[in-house]
Amino acid sequence: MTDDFDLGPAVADASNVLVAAPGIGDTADRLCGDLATADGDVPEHVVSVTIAGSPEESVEAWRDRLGPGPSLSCLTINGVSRSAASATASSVGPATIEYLDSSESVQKLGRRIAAKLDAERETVVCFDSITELQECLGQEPTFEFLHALGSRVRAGDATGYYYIDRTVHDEETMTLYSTLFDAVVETGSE
Amino acid sequence: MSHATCDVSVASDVVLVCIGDDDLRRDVTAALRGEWPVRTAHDDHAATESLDEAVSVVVVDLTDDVFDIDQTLDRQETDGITFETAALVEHRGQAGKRLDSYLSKPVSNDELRATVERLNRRVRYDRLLGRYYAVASEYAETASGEGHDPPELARLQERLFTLRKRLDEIVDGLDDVDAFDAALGEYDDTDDFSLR
Repeated sequence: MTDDFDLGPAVADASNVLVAAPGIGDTADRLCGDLATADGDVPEHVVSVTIAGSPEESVEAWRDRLGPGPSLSCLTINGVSRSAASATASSVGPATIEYLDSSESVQKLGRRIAAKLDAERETVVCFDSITELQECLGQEPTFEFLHALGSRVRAGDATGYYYIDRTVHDEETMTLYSTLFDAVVETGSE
Repeated sequence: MSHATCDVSVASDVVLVCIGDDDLRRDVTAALRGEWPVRTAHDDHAATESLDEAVSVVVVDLTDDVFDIDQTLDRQETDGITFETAALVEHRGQAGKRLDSYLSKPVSNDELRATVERLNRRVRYDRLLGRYYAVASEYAETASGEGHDPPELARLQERLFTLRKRLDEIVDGLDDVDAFDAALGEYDDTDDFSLR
């Protein structure tokens, strides 16, 4: 299913967008893909960050949505069972998947994402998800991390979409995170 | 709910120069005084007395045994004071891991000022981001509460707008490493992602 987005100028011009919807799985990639292509253009470079999801599924979702054109980098946090692969990168078709060991710091995750931004190409960052990052770090460090990441996205002339599962958070938490973003897109029914 | 007025400037951005040698302390102070308020300490006791929340950067000479830098650093935890440290060392090999920056002696005025500017910016970002989180939390609590207070919400929104603009200006001057390190300043770099 693809949601139809009628993006107002506030969203279209935004560097960092909070995407609030219910559910997990491929929801974040699907919504980010829809938003990234809502104006009819396809980004040249996609950076997909997944905290607990499957990078292979993420790559598949992006390829289904955008076709073979854009370069695709997927950064994922590795579980204990795959920690030995932390320093290596593997390829799924024309996409690159990099694993960050779960023992690494959140600061390193931020630096790795920032290093993938390319001001020379139209770049989209899909962050999946705030909900899972908060589960790992707690609320305040997550908030601080998102501000720093948002600054890198803005400085790199990229567009960041940050997914949050709104069935997990209360209204106060949703409002708190919304203060970090240029625009908020809410979609879907519970 | 606090109604205290918060200025967007942070503390006083004081640089505390902890150097035992009189000539070197005078030279370092002269190099920095044009851009930041400077306090000086010639021994541990004076350093302890001078270190408070107004201090953003501590420049300490580690080439003599005058200063117990571990004791100074412990103040970050015991007193909750946020500051960054630049150490003067004989050579880079003397550098440990606890301090934020190391400068090999002799250090040029330009290098010294550039280092203090960078560390000061990290501290300002860390402090202001903490303040932004506090105001955002207050805004979220007010907005989601039963008794909506439009004037208060408008005041908090204006406050957030001002703080965010200032935050963006500060963080834009930091590189990737400094931006994430400073943002997560109170979050231990060794903490990991293990899902709880």
